[in-house]
Amino acid sequence: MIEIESVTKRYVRNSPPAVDELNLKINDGEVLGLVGLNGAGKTTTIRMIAGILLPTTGRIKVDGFDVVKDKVKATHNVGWIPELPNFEPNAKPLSLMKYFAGFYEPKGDMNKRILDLLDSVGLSNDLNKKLRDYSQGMKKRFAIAESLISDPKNVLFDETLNGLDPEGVKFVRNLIIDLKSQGKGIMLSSHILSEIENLADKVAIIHHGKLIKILDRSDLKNLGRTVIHIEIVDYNPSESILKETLSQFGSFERNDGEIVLRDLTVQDKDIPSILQKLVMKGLTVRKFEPIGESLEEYFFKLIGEKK
Amino acid sequence: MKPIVYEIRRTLTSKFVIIMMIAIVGLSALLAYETASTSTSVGISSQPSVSFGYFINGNNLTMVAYAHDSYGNPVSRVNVYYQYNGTEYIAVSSSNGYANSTFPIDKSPQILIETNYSYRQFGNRITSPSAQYMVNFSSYYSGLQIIPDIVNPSNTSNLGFMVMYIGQNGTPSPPITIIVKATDISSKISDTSNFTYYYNMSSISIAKIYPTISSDNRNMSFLVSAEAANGMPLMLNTGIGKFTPFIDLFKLSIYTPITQSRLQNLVFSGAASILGLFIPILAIFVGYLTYGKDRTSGVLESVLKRPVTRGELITTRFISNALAILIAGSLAMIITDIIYNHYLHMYFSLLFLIDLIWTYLVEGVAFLALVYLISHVVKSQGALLGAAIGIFVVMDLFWGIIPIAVISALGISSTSSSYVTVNILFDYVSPAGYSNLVQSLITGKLGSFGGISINPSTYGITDLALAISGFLWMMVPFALAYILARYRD
Repeated sequence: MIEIESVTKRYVRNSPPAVDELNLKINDGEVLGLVGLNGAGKTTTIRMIAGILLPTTGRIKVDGFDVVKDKVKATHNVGWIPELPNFEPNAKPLSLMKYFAGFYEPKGDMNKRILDLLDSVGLSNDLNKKLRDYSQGMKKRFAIAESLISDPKNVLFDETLNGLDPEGVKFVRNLIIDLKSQGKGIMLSSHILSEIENLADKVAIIHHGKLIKILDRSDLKNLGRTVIHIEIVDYNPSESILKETLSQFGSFERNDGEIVLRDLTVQDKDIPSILQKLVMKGLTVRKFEPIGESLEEYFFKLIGEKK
Repeated sequence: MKPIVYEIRRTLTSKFVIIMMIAIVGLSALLAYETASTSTSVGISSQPSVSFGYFINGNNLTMVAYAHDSYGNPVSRVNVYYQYNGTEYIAVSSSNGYANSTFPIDKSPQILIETNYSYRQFGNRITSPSAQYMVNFSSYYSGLQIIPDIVNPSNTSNLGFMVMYIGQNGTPSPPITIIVKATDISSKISDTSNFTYYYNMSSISIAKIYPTISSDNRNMSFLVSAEAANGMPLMLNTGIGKFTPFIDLFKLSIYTPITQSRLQNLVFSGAASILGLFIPILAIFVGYLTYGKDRTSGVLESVLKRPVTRGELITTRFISNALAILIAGSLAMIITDIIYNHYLHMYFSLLFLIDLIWTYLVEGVAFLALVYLISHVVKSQGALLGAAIGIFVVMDLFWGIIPIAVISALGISSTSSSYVTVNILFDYVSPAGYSNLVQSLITGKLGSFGGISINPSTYGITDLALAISGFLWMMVPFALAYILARYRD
């Protein structure tokens, strides 16, 4: 379990915070998706949980242990797979894994566990190479293996899917599902929002370091509600005509020449009546596309509102 | 695997550390060999010498010249000039070193032959000063001559001599016994059998003799004499028309007893200069490669995310780096000690050895700690590398020049006490000056500026001050780095 309590992180004194009064909680057996634009504070949050960065204020607890005051106990139960893993370039994977394993209490046959982990990420044929000769994808696979060396109760995936081949993406997806089934707390940060939508139990949307929304599973289910994308030919109807025509069917907004109608008041079977109403108003409709709203659309809508 | 074991193994097996250790130990050994061997060896001349003899056959005199080097080995292509009655006769030495010339002479009791010789060196012809060789007509051949100061090639701190025999009309010598005895007959020679040599020599021949001098006879003078098989003494030709039963060889060894003080001076003028340069290089760049670079590139994060505190991580790496410095300095000093003992027959006193190892440990660890400190101040690898090189250049490489510039700018006389004070102040300000301070404490002279005798305690150089200074140099920069590591990202 990871608890983030009113955490603020400033890299430079008196500058805007990278993370601002953030409160989050990841329960055991739960996947929390972390979503935000570049610079939103996702990686900073994850690096603070991993014990790499020190919070300016606030407190982070891992299984009840403070990451700053009780770092050894706290980080014992955290595995972190960074976006761009960086290892001692001249080391070979086995010796580096043994070195990393030396930081943990020995559990059973560590050598076997190391070989099994490296095999599970598909590196068993590359054990004689130095890490400087690994591709970025291979380094990420190695990072997954070394992060799981202590069988941590909490795992942090920071843009882990970036740079992986389709097989790697599938492996990570299955790994997350497997870890979740083992009751581990997982934080998943990714730009591939569809993956988060599929895997996460909760999604935290952060912007400029602030938490702006937490969506739970039921919220995510509701994200599938229908929205209609409409384009009108050679005519830019006034706000009053649109309001007169569309407001009875839901809320609408203009977005780059497109009109998006959401929060529909009619059932799906009655959607053609909306098109009929537009035509009757003399508008030439080029596009009338009813689709389910994705997390991505919701995210951009939310971020747009914040802007 | 225990993390500290991995860190130590990683540091000691890195290419840079291995190369630096080989350089430090190898160069220290080389300098120790150079200073030890030259302090005990005879100056080897690259110029040939010529030794003369003769025999008379009827009205003809045959002058025999043997051209040889410092070891008594023959030298070819030496032109030998003989002048008699205004006529010059020339002979050129062949591969066996001989340059003989036969010419008619008047029958007078004594004949003076003027000799000189020339040889080519680096393209120039060099001619020796003229000398006179006295031929005693009453003796038809020069017989036995002793040529002293021939260097023993297998032990250049020992000298031997050559026996040059010229017989009558090409007749070989009867059996000859060559005897070498100490001049002071009351002195005992521990192994007299080594000082008696038996020869049957051909008519014109050379024998090289290197008496084996035991350590208790090194400082004695020796006389050489010869006997026939029946025990009758043989006269030795002096080359100036006289014959003598003894030739004084003076010393057969240039060995002088070594003292700890002399040994220490040899170290300060030799291996110390190598360590003073290379230990900081090792320290600065091992700190950069195994800590600073890892920190600024993000590699350290792969370790920091483990159950280890920031303090433990920096301390573990620092200790493994410091161990490399300790091993390099200790190995260099121990090898140096062994080499000096081989040539000078004396080991460093244990206290001096510990002083030396401590000195270079302080110097190295202080530079190492400075790099650790900077690693927590700068953000990029480039800035860190630049700062590390800057530290080496300013605080080590050119640290000896900076006080000179300051002294010159302030117009301080080199004979004033201010001169000493400024130099010592600078020695306290950089870790590179620590070895100078230790040197001043041990020798009572001003560190690297040598020659000026000082009372170290007058200028604040005491055992206690150096111990405190050493601990401060090692601990303060590291303590600051430790605090930054704990409380800053």
